[in-house]
Amino acid sequence: MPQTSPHDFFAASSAATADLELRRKLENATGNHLHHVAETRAEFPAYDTERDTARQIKEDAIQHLDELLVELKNRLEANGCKVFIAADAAEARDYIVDVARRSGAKQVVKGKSMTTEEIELNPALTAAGIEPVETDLGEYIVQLRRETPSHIITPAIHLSREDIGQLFAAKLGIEYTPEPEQLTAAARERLRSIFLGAGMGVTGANFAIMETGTLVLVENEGNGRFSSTLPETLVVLMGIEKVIPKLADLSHFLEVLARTATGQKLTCYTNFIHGPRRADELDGPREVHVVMIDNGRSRMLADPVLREALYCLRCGACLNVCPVYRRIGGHAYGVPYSGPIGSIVSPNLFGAAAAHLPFASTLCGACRDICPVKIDIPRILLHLRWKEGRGDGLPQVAFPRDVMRTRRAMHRFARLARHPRTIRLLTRCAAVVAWPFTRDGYLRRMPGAFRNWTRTRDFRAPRSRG
Amino acid sequence: MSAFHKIIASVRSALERKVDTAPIHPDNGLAVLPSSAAARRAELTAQFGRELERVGGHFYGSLTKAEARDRAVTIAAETAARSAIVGAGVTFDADLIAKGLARNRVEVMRPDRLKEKDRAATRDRVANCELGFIEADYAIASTGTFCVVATAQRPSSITILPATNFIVVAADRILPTLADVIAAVGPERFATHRVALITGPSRTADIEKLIVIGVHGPRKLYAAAITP
Repeated sequence: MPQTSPHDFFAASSAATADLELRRKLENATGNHLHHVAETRAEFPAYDTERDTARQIKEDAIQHLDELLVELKNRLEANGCKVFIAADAAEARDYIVDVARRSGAKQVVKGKSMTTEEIELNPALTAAGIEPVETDLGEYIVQLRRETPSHIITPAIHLSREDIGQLFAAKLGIEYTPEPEQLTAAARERLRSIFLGAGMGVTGANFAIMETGTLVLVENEGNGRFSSTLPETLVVLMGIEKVIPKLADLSHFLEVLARTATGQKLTCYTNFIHGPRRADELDGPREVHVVMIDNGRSRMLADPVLREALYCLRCGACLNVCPVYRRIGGHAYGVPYSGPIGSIVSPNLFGAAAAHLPFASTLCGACRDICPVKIDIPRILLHLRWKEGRGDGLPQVAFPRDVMRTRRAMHRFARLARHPRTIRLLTRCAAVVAWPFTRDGYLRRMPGAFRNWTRTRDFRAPRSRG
Repeated sequence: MSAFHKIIASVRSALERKVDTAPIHPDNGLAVLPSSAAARRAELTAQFGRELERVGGHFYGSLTKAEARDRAVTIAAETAARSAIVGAGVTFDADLIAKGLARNRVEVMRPDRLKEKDRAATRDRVANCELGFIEADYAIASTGTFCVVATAQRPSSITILPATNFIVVAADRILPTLADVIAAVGPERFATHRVALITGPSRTADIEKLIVIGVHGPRKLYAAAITP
């Protein structure tokens, strides 16, 4: 469970905002992404229709989640998979570590999976004496730096090519180069032999098709293909919300997912995993374990507003358009899921450690506009703030003192605002008090505790009448 | 009550639904697609080629089987490949390709039903192949994507391990959209086989969002449509 607090968030986000080099990297990477996305979407007139269809399918799937999960489990088992459903991160971790132990694997190759970050699988494997090796290039880079991913789909977004060149020179013993082609080739060479020797693979799943009992994994590098094809044992870790009813539904999601996530029409590889290999086949694992994890998702399901967040495809686009994320990056959030969608799911997955994150948003709505399944993120963030204020199901946030002062003042104002006569009286009093500071109907500079309020903006002065 | 059923019960309780209400969404169906793919073969082939080139593949256009064999030999020579793996064909006998390569001193591997004791050695042999040839089951014109259904004679390794891939597809199996190809493969095969959609050589944008071709999978992808 991540250990973080509002104080850590304020400190980390202040430091990140002041780090102009980090801001340059984030602006560069997210700007490139938005350019590609705009181009690809413009070429696909049916984009909005597909978004609507994908959303409709998700709505229905979530509405019937219990039935779909029961049937998916049956189909997967009929295909030869072993299915385990984990109530929380600890159960999922324990099961996967146990499978790894029993497989006798010394190394576990991991395809890119944020759900494994959610359950903190790597430290658990390491503690059991099994070496987890991240094989997505970005994940490999952050693993070498002993960091966590700072973006859902671009884990090393906070690093420049020079940073990575220095890292590879230090850790892989190659000559320093900032050239992405050479850095990628170095990682390819290093990871190829690990792939060929690893006893177990772990991947996530983007979708699980109930109709066929098929797991779908989309990716560009081949790390998912290698991790799910070469090792003898495969574990696929998926959130319970990933199930979709039918094979025919899938194309609607794939048509919007890559276009929004990476600005591609389709990712380089879409892998379909049905179960273990047949005896006479060369490729595929001998054992396939599917771990479906709840870990707070059914809690989200129980809240009619919050339920919409379970439609998320984890494309990461909302991070790229978010004015907060683009200035502070992912690490400041202190949890694996950052940005707008992370601010919604994290309080439900990680409790008090992330309860403050719904407040880390300007509610500008850019995330809602870019979302491939049209999740109304600002509405859910406001709902979470409201719940936090009422102490309704979420832990109370221990905000810093000055924030709490403002909060108490706003609560008092909210109570006052219910009494129009009192408000009118107080406004008249305020007009008298503010008169010495009023110029042309505006308060431009206030003294004492009010100074900060007028430092960067003018307030219309209170009026004694009308 | 098992752990699985406990979680299903908590999901059901979260949905506040004790009994089934409405049926799962009505069939959204495949997008309505023109069924005249055969008549539009040339157009679809051209579109497929354009899209594949956009994602870093190299498209030779429409070839006869004999021309495909000659291309395979040329690719092996250009990439200095000394060994190749040739998967079984879908619409034609890939022996033609294998023999063409062998005649030009390329060591050719033909995957077949495997015995367990040969697994490790076979994997090592595939890993050392520099060229992989396979006929895809279908292709998607709108995205430049191949669809390959794996079997014992057509293992996934062919499109994973060699540094260079030459993938061909019968021209009448190039379908307009992703939905068409998914429907053509059908639920039964998705439930029983490993399937891969391959759109260009492997790539990454993990370093400053700059695109680099050739990460773990093949670095080069050559392609052609096979005409009768």
